[in-house]
Amino acid sequence: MTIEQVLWENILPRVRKPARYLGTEWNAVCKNWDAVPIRMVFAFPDLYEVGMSHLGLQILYGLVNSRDDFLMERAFAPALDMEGELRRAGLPLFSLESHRSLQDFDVIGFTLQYELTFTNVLNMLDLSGIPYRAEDRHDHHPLVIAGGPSAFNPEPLAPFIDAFLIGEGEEGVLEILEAVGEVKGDQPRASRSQVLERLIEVPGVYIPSFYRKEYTDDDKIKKIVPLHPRAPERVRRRVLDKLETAYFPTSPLVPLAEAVHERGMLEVFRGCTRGCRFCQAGMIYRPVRERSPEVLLSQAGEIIKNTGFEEVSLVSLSSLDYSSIQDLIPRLAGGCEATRTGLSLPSLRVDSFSIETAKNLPGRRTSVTLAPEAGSQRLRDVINKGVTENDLMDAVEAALDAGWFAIKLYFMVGLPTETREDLEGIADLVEKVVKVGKRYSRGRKRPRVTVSASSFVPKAHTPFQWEGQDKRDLLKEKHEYLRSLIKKSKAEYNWHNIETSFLEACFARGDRKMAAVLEGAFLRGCRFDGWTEHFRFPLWMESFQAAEIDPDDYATSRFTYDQVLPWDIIDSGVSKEYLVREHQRALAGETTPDCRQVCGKCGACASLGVTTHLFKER
Amino acid sequence: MPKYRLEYAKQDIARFLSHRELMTTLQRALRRASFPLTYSKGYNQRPKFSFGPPLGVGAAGLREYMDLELDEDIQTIEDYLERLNRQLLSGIRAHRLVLVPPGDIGLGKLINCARYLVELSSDDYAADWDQLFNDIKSVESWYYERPHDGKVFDVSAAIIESGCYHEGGRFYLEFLMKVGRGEVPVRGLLDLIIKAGTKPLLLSRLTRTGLFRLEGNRLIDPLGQIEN
Repeated sequence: MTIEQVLWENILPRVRKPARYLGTEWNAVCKNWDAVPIRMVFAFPDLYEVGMSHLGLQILYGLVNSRDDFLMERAFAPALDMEGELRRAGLPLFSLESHRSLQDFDVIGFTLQYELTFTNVLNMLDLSGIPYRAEDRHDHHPLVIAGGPSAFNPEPLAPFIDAFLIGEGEEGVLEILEAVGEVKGDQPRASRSQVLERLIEVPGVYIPSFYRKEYTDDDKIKKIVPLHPRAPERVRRRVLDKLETAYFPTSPLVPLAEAVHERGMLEVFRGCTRGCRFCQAGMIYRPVRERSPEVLLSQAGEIIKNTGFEEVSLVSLSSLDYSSIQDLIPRLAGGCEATRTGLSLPSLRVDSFSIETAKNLPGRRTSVTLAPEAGSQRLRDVINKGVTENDLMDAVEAALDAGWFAIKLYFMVGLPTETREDLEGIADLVEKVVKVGKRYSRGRKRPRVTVSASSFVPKAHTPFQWEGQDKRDLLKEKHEYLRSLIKKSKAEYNWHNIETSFLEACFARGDRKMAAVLEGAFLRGCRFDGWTEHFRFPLWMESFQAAEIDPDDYATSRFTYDQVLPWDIIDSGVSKEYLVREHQRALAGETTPDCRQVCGKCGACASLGVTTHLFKER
Repeated sequence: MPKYRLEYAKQDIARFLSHRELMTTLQRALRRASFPLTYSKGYNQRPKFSFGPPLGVGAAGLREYMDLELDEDIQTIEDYLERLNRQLLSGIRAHRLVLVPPGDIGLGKLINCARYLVELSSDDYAADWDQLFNDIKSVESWYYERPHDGKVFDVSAAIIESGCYHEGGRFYLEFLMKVGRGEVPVRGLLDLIIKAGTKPLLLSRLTRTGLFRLEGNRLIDPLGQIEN
C-alpha cells in the first residue's frame, strides 16, 4: 500500500482533526514530481493550525513554487496521536501535497519561530527516518536547513542543522536551491558535503560544522574559530532592499482545519523603528521598508478574490506606524465593505489614534489589546516603550467610547531594574482602567479587563542580551504578588508559565552545549514544549542534569560586554556598540527616539546597504 | 430575499472534514464564485446560510443540503453551479441548486430521516454476512450510551427500515434512520453492528446516501423529488 492508501484507510479515520493532513487546501500547489528537478519541503515544527497562520510559509511557498525548476511542499509537526499512528504503522513523516517521505526531498527547511519548538525539529527528522545529528547523516541525505528569528542564536541547534539562513529568506532560499541544483545535476541526489562547500559563497548562510568554539578555563567562550578556509568570520543577515517590488503571495493557501489566524495577510511593512529594548524583532528586521498604498490595495483585492477569506489583516510589527495609514485605511475599508470582508489590525499602539483608526474598520469588534509592558514611567523609559499613562488612559477611554467592552492589557514581569514599585505600578494602572470601565457599565455589566503578564526573556541581538532572567522563585513571587494586587481591582489575571519562559531563556542565550540537553529531552519524550498541556518540565531538568549543565548558567547569569557571546558569529547589522549604548541608556533611564525622527546610528542601514523606505515622510 | 437550496456531496478525501470545516470551505468557495450572498447586519456580518444535519468526521455524504439567501435572483443557475464547482476542493461537488418556494419550512424542520450505507469487507467480518444482518434485525431494542455524557439512546427504535446486499466481495448494510425527533448518534448504529459480531468499525465506513422527509410511505428529498 502507498502512504496515501494507509493514511485514508487506517490512519486518518483514527486521528483527531484529520483535515490537518489532507493537503488539498485551496491554492495548494501539487507539481508533477518527476518534472521538477529540485524539491524542497518547508517543515514547520508546530501544529498545522499554527504553521498555516505563518506569513513566512506563505511567502516562500508561493515564491519557490513560482519557479518551474523548483517545488516546495509542506510538512507540519504531527500531533501526538498522529505521531503514534505513524510510528505504529511504520510510516515516515510525509509532505502534505504529494504525501511523500521527507527523505525524498533534496532540501528540508525548518522555520524557527520559537525556541520551544526545537524538540519537534528533532522529532520531525527522526520520524522521517533521517538521523537528527548532522554528523550521523550520509552524503545522500537531504540537506537540512533552518531560518527564522530563533536562528539568530543558532548554537543550540548547531549539531542538527547543516546550514542556517540568517535573515529574510526570499533571496537566500532561491540561491540555496540553485546551488543544490548545480551540485545535483543529473544525479538522483546532491552530495551534501559538496552543497555545503558551495553554500559558503551564499551570503547569510551559516554552516555550523565549519566552526569550532574555544572555551576559557571557567567555561566561557574564548573565541569562535572558522575551520574552513573560506568560512566567513561573521555571517551577515540577509535583508531585502525594497519590499515594494518584492514577491508577495496573493493566492495564499486557505487552511482546511481551523488555523490560529484565518485571514488574508497584508504585509504593510517590514521592520520597526520604535526601538523597544527587549524586542528582538525590532532589532533583527531593521530598517523599516514600506509598501505603497497602491500595491497594498491591489494585493488586498487579489487576496480576497483568490481565497474567499472573510477577513484581511494588516500584518507588521506595528501597523499603525505605517506612514500612509490615513490614506490607506479608508480606501482599503471601502474595498473590504464592497466584498463584505472584515479588516483587522492585530497590533494597536497605546494611544487614542489607534482606537480612532480601529473603530472605522469593517468587521468584528471583540476586544482591544494594548501593551504598555511596564507599570511605571521609569521602567517604560528603561525599556524605551515610549508610552505614558495618559496615552494608555486615552486609548482605553477611546475604546470604551467606541463601543468595545473588553480590554486586554499586556505586561512583562522581571524586566531589568524592576522593583516592587514597578509591579505596584501595574496594579495601579489596572485599577485606573477598571475605574474608567465602570463609567461605561451597561446595567450591572462592566467592561471586562484582562491582564496578561509574561516573564521577560533576554534575547540575542537586543540591548538586553547581556541581562539575565530573574530566577524562577523570584519570578513566581513577583507574579503572585502582582496577582494579589490585581485581584483587588477585579480584573482577570493570567500569567505565562514560568518554566517555559525559563527554558526559552536557556535556548535564547545558550551555546552549542545546549544541544545535548535538547537531545536528552527529545529522547525522554518531550514534544510541543510551548503547549502547556504537553510541557514536561521534570524531563527537561533530568536532561540538564544528565548533560551536567546548570540551566541557571544560561538563563539567569549576566554576560559582560567583553565576553564572546554564543551568537557573535551572526551579524544582525545592528552594531554591538549601539546595543551597548542602548543598554547603558536603559540603565540610566534614558529614552531613545524613534529612528524615523532621529537616526539612532544602530549601523543597520550602513552595514546592510539598505535604507529606511517610507511612502510619506511625517 | 430569495432563498436557494444547494445539494452537494462530500466524499473521498473530503469525508475527513468536520462539519465546521465544511461550512467554512463552502462559504469561501461561494465567496470566490461571487454568489450574491445576503449577509447579516452588525459588526460581525455573516452570510445567511443554514445547513442540513451535520455529518461526522470521516463519514461521506452523497446528497447533503444547505440553504443560502441571496441578494438577488440568479437567472443562470447552471452557470452558477459550474462557477461554484470550479472553486470547490477535491471531494466536494455541488449537484443541484434550486430556488426555494415561499412557505418552505427550512431544512431543520423538513428533514426527518436519513439513509445510511455501511460498508463491510471480509476483513471486518469473515462469517456469514446474511447471518450478521439477521442478527442485527432480530435485536428488539439496542441501547447505546454516548461516551462523553452517558446519555442513553435506543438505536433500534430509530431504525425505520434496513436492508443489505453484497457486491464485489463487499457487504453493504443499509439503514433508514430517524432525524430530529427520535434521532440517535450514528455511532450508535456502528456500535450495534460491532456488537453483532464484527471488529471495531470506523466512521469512514459510513456514507449518508440521502436526506429525506418521510410523509406516509413516501420519501421526499429536500428539493421536492419523490424517492423511489
